[in-house]
Amino acid sequence: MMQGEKGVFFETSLKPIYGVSIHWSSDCNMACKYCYIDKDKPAMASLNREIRQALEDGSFVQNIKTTLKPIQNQVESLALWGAEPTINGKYFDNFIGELLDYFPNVNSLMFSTNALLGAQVLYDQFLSPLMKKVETLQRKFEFELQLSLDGPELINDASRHVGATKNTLDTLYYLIEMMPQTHDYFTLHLTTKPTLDISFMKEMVQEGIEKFQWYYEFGEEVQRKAKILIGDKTTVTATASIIPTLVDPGYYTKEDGKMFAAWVEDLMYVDQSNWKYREGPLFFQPWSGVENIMYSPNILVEGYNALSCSAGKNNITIDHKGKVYTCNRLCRNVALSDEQKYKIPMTSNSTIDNPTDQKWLKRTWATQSFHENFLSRFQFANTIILALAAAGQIDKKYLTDENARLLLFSVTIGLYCHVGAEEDYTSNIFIPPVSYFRLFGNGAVEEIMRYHKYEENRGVERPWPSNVL
Amino acid sequence: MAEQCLVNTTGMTAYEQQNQELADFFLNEYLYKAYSYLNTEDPYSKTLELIISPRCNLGCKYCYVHKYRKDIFSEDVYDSELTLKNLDLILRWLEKNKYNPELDIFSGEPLAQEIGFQVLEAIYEYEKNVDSRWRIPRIMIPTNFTFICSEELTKRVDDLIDKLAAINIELLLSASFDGKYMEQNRPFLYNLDLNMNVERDDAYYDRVFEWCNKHCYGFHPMIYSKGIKDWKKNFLWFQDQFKKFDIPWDVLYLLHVRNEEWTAENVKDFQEFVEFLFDFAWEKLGKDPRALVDWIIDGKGFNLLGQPFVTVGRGLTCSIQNQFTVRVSDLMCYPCHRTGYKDFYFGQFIPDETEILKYHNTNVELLLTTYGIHKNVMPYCMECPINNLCAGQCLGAQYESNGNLFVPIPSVCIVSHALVASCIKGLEKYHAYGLLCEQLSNRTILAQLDYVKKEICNNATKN
Repeated sequence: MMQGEKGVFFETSLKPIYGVSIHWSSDCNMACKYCYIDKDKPAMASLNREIRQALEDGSFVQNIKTTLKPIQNQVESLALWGAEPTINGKYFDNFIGELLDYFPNVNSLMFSTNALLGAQVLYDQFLSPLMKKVETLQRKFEFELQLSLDGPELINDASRHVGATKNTLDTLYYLIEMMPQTHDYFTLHLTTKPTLDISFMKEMVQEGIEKFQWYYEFGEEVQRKAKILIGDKTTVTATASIIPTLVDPGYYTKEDGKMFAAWVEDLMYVDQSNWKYREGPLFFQPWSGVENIMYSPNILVEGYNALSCSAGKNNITIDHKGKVYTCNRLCRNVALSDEQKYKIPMTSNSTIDNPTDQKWLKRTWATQSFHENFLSRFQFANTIILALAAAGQIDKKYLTDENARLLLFSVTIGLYCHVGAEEDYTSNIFIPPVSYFRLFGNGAVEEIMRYHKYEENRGVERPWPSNVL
Repeated sequence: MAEQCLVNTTGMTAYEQQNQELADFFLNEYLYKAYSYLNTEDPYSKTLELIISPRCNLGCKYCYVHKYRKDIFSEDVYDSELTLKNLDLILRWLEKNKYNPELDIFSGEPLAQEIGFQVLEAIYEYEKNVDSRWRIPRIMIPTNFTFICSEELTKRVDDLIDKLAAINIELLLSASFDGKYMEQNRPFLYNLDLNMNVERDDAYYDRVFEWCNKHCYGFHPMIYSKGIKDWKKNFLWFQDQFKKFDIPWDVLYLLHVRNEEWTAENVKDFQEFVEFLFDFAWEKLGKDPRALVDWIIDGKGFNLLGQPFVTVGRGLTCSIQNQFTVRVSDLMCYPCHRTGYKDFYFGQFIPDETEILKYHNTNVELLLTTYGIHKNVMPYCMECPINNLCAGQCLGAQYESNGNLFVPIPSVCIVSHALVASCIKGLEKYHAYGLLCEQLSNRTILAQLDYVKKEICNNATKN
């Protein structure tokens, strides 16, 4: 069957979608200086008013139901995205109740919050209604709540606002305290996601190992307190020991790459002997890509999403009008832009299974090819890596050593936000930004290999089960 | 709130600087060295493609200019005065650096509007004073040849050819029309700023062929899905015209339009046409299988019949990796004339204080990919069983169809498969397939041909 007819040609390549991200809010009560979301406040606020109206009049839920009817029994997880979800918290109770009734197999929810409104709001508006609902439905349910916390006050407050660190920690601890001892169906997973900016890495390298101790001991202390508070409660877990993630894809230079290599090298000198609560290695994100290559040899011959996000493959984003997008980033860009670029919406109208909806099918055809063509992605990266090496912006060895190029590519795949790269850097999901390779191609790959060998010898467990990989 | 993408504000300047250095390094190695008059090994290996106007007097149904003009080169960007001013800057930049690439001039239709003639006049006026060692050697313009409708315009073109020839610049025109029986795909829209009575009757076509023959210009009609049933008739009309004007029968360069519109029925008709071409060539070549094979391998075969067997020495088979495209109105640089969408600007030429152009980088990653990528590593193409027999697709058409420059259009893939199958069938019919395979040394190509041949047998058995 040909394109231009009923589009059946494409259907064979469609994979099940089981994750649905909901563009739930579009405004924020903070203005973190590094956040990727546009700080066009009037437009964000205006869109958020529209979203609230749709929440109030029930059209948001109705539009989701109409659009996602064909996959009603397929959806397993929901996520709230957009901007800060808690600002629309008063609408959550009815909203989630209706969705859990409608999607019989949804058993998890996640969102990330700046925690500014505190534990009481989170508990009253989100946790409490959820616990009641899943009890009524008698459905096992996991809720992952990610709290923004980049590290000690000096780091976290600098990028957010004075008092942000204390506020987040208070929220974390109070939430643990507020959770009941047991619940037949509900578990809350509290996590922190620390992002480490290159300027702080530089400061750590310059100031020496004491600064590393200071940074990581903060995580040890947070995790210690959390564990003590959890005690023998079965309703809550916490992962808060600070495993930093990188600014992605960042604006890295060759010099940043050299400094970053020194930073990774220093990890081996951090004294962990007195720590009891830490979970996982000190740094893991790039290693996840290496593990993909080492432990999943099929990645080289089969379709595999290689730990990149699954946006457009088995995860989609839906907005209050029922429009579907590859991911929340695109949704936000479209919503805040006057210009409706052809390439962005995955569907122009109502239902995603409509075989005549060519935009949906075409976009999916393109997006899935990203997820399923690892070697093709590597060849695009290969082109960039070779040029960087020839220009002297990364190690010259990458000119001649293809295995080294594969390894360099693999360390970036755990970080890679293809939609972000397309939208903000290279205009195409297959073309990785040069920034990545400058960061890792100036000695860091070798240090990452050494560091993980060192941790492996110490028997440190990975932060998530290897079967996830 | 998601926090994936922090901005390292302190590193921005250095980051941008290094991106600029990378772009400059690449352009120097890949492009400027080839542009240099000192490059005598392959002086035409890289060209400079100048996009001078978004306007065209025809509205060809398959043409990107007609369909996507607003997005690809809007009237807001076009400015004839700026075009001439910037052209002067480009010519100064070429002279200053002693670069002498071939210039390819694109627009809608350059020779149906005053700016096209002004550009050629300006090039002549500038280049006549340039040292002959680094004077540009050639200007190539694909044109729809409607200027032949006007005696006055034809004379202007003739005069320009002579003037440029006098300073050793060859003006090459390539006949971009599809033939008498494809006129329905190429309707006249309106006159631009030059008046002509565009009536493409037999007398007009006679003038075109006579004129092309006089100047030894070639013909490159496009085979579009719409009207494909009439292509045999159209082809025979070309042959009649060639005979009439004593033009060799095989100068025709056929290329199928790689847009998404192909349907199953169109593909069937396309295959019939390809097989018809084999029949025609067989008769012309004296029913000699060896002559048929040589004709294809030597790169003739109307282009189309040789496509599966003839390889080119670059990653993408269109000319994109041999050229550098600049839209003259705003000096914006992007991969090719078909990809002028604002998402794909990878840089811009900006004059410095001495009015000499400098390349200003915007998207070095796209620049590197455009010139470094190979068609066989595109998504889906990597696993395709005929990737070595396929000419690949058009990046612009891919973007227009599925939103991604590098993801192939399934219907065009089917056309490629069909072309390979029909070429094999055509060769087999005249006992030339084995002879052709003997001349191919690439084992992958041979294995892929074998694969398609088996598919054909299987299909025949099923049918």
